[in-house]
Amino acid sequence: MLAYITRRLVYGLVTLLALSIIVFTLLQLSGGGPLDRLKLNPRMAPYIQALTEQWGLDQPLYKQYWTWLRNYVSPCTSTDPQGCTSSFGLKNAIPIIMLVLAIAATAFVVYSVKNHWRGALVLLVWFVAILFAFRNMSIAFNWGISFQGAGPVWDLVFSRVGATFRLGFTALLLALMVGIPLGIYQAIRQYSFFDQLGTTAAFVAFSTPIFVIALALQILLALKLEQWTGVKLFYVTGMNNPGYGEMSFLQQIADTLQHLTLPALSIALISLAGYSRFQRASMLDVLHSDYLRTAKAKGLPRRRIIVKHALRNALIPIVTLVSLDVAFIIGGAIITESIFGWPGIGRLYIVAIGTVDYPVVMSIVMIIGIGIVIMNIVADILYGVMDPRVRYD
Amino acid sequence: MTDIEYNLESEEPELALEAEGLSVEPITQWDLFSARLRRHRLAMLSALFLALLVVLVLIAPLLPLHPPTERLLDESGRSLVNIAPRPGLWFGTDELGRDVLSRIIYGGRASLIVGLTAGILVALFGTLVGSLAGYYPGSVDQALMRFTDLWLGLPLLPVAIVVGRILPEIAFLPGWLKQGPFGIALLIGFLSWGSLARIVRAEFLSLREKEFVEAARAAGAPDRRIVFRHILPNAMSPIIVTTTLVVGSAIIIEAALSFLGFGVPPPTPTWGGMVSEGGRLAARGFWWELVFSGAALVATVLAINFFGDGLRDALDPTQTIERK
Amino acid sequence: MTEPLLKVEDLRTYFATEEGVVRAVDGISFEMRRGERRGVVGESGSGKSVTAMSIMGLIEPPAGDIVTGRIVFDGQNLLELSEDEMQSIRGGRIAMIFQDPMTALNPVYTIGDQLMETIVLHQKVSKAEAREIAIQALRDVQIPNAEHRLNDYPHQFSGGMRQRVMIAMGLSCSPDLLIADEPTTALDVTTQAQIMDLMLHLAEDRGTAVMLITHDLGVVAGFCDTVQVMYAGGIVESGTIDDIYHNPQHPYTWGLLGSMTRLDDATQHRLHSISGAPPSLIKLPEGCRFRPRCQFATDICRQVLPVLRPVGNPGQMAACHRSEELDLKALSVDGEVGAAASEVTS
Repeated sequence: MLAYITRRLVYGLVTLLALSIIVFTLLQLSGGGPLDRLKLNPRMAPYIQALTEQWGLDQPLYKQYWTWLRNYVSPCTSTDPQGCTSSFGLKNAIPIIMLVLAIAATAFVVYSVKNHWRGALVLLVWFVAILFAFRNMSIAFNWGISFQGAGPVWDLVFSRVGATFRLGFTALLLALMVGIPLGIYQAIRQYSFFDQLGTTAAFVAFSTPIFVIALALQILLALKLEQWTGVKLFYVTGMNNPGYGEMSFLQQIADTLQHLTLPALSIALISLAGYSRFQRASMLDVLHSDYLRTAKAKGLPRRRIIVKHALRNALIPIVTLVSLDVAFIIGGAIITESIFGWPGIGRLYIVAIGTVDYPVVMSIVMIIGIGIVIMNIVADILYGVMDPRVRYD
Repeated sequence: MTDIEYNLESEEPELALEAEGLSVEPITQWDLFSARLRRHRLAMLSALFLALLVVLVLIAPLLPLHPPTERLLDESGRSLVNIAPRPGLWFGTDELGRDVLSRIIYGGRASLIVGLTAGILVALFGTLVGSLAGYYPGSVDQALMRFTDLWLGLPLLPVAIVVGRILPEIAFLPGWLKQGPFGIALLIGFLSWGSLARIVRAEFLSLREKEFVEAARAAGAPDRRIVFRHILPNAMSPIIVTTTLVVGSAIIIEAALSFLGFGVPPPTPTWGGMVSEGGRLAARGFWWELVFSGAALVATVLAINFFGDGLRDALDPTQTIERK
Repeated sequence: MTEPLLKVEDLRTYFATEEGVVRAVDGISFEMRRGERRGVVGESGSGKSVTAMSIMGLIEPPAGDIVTGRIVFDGQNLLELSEDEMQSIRGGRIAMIFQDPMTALNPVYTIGDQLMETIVLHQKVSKAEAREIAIQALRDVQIPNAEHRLNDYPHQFSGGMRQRVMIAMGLSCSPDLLIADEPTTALDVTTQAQIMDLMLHLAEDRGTAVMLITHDLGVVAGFCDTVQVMYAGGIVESGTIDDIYHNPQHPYTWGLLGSMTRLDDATQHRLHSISGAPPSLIKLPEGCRFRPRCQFATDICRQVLPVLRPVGNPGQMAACHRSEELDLKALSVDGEVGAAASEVTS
């Protein structure tokens, strides 16, 4: 399993490198390259000299890329407006080395623990610990400063990742928690009216672009609902109202939900349709399987047959779908965040692309890539946890 | 309990069953059959809708429509901005006083060009890569599949957005690629061939082991003949079905890019761009541009997906109506 | 004479399809004593498996339905039991082993888990006790290293080993009746005999009656006391092994015997085969169902459906109008009942 994870990590790194090279090259094709663009922006005049030196903006493409890559993986402890000035030094690398050691230790623990579930739990705990480390040890990477004068990219991106994570994770959870039971119910009641209805609805959802769903929800459930009934159930923009800090705990929860529900639902609907279709098909396969007939012949109660024997098997293929769905949810977040004014990296991405803010675009593309790679590996491990037939080698 | 023993053991089950008219499929098969029929009727309807759309889009200049970019004025010379649907202006006008109906029909051009071009591109490239990988196992297969995996690993929308943004500024590209829907079509096509390549490879891998291919090989048929006469025709149905679905998703991606402002640049009308504009207007109470452009988009993609589903059933009678 | 363990009376199980009603089992009646080993023989589609499924209560509407009949098991009509009551009989007092051991076990649970599940359910014992019983059950079916293999998953076992596990599962609650539906068809020939031997010995030890469903007359000859031959949803002949093999009363049985390959037969016989195919179960022919394929058919066979009646040796029954006039024994490919493993026609 250790070898397997290592190999997957290597593939992931190669994908990330390819992604960075492609996007980096594409960005260079725009409007004469970064240096020309920088000169267009009067606010950036004082920084041009320093940035050109630090990032080698007057150098050929491959040298610029190399400089970018070296800086991108270089940790630093301070993020002043100039960006990190220190290059890759051992002292700065200590937190990173600790983290790598922690991940290695995690992998080892997962590898040595026989019980998959316990292994997965350990993995989760470490994941949270690592996030905490980033938060509290103020580790930063030298991702440069925004070419639009919006400050250090690390701060810019890192302060928004949480919002996107909240939105995407809620959407994923919503899609899973509604889509899977829906598919199971449809399979159990195959060809019933409800099943046919679900099938048709899923088709329509598949065919509807996410921005149409988002706009429809925003206009109907937020704007029009308030216009017609006077009840303000949802807000159309932002993550929280001003004055969030002074609210009571319950008010905070209500406020958060009023902002979160519509954008999360917009992203979730299409995924939800996908999960319900997939779950239905996979459940039907299992319901017609020989081992389910065996379970019936053993005299097990119907509920137990469905819950213990059918469900556990029917859930396995869904894991693969989840890993594929992550990229889709991130894409959905980019669109939805723009519509709902959600302060996440998706909206930042659109703004940065509009002004071709090189360091910001590169950083977000890489964050997205890293997120997808990690989720794929997690899904693979989860697959092995759920299906004892899978062997990692 | 649905498959009882009948068709499992006899040597030529189908033959025996056919000869005797013996059928042991339970009642649910009837539902399946009728559902399939209904689905086919839906597919036929969808095909009709799509054909109509294509014709409409092709003959648009001949139709009695205002030009899509013309800002309409009334008799006294005031501009007709945000006019609600009414006779003569059936879909109303937008915030610049342009005829929404005309813009939707012309906008269909961009969508259909992108969908079809990207579809053809994916069909050609995906089939080429997939069949090469599937027919030449070993290092060719390995290299091509690594490449395909890498390509599939790219996050589609973020990369497409970058390209869409940069496209008009790339100095060495000809004008029709920079500005029009063809550039976007190429972009989407080149980002979406991966899954078809995988499917074709899998088909080739299984077909090349089949007896009739072995027989052709034993008879000394050259590779080209084996591929084009024996394998490719049998792999056609997944290629056609997948391509159809790619056309639908290409239209959605184009619309998303135009919605975000990185697709076909204005003033060329696009459905995505109209939804974006319509969304802003609808918040102010002018609902029509959003509703009509959104409906055009959803109806077209829905028709393509229904058609693709009907094709899947029609091309593969052994398959149930389940989508994978 | 004691009450029979199982008494099936006029059982009819039909399946509704788009072409019409399939009469998969059409009015069969038979009895089984305690500890009896009964072979149920017939071609594909003769209704053997549907009979078994009907007894197990595994026919599920709306696909299929038991139209009429009684299945009296140990004095109780199973068809009148509630689903809850039926559940306590299934797996506990009547167990079933299926054809394909590769797919019959749930891949995501260990063998031990699946074995203990049945034991805990039907025997009301603690988990620890169930574990002991499960280990013993695996030992009984000669799985080495049972206490460790308990923790293994099905994919870690070979096909033969999995069928042993299925047998262990079936017999773990010492049922009164074990239905084995082609238990060795999916296995290779060398394992087949071992598995059959094992299953029948264990059943004998427990006093369990066995209904062995097969299309292999050789297997029946080796392992059963009585045989019933089924054709197109009905029983055409039943009797002891000796009756059936040495004194067949129905042309179909006679045809089946003639189509057996015989390893012990030095002379080179031409293998006999029954021409034609079984009739559609939707449009059954008038009169005798075997008539279109029967070389002895006459006018009465065309008009009247023969009923199962005593004929030949005492206790032997056959459903043929002409049993008395035909001396099938004399026409039969003579010789001993061989333990030859062979498949019947089609």
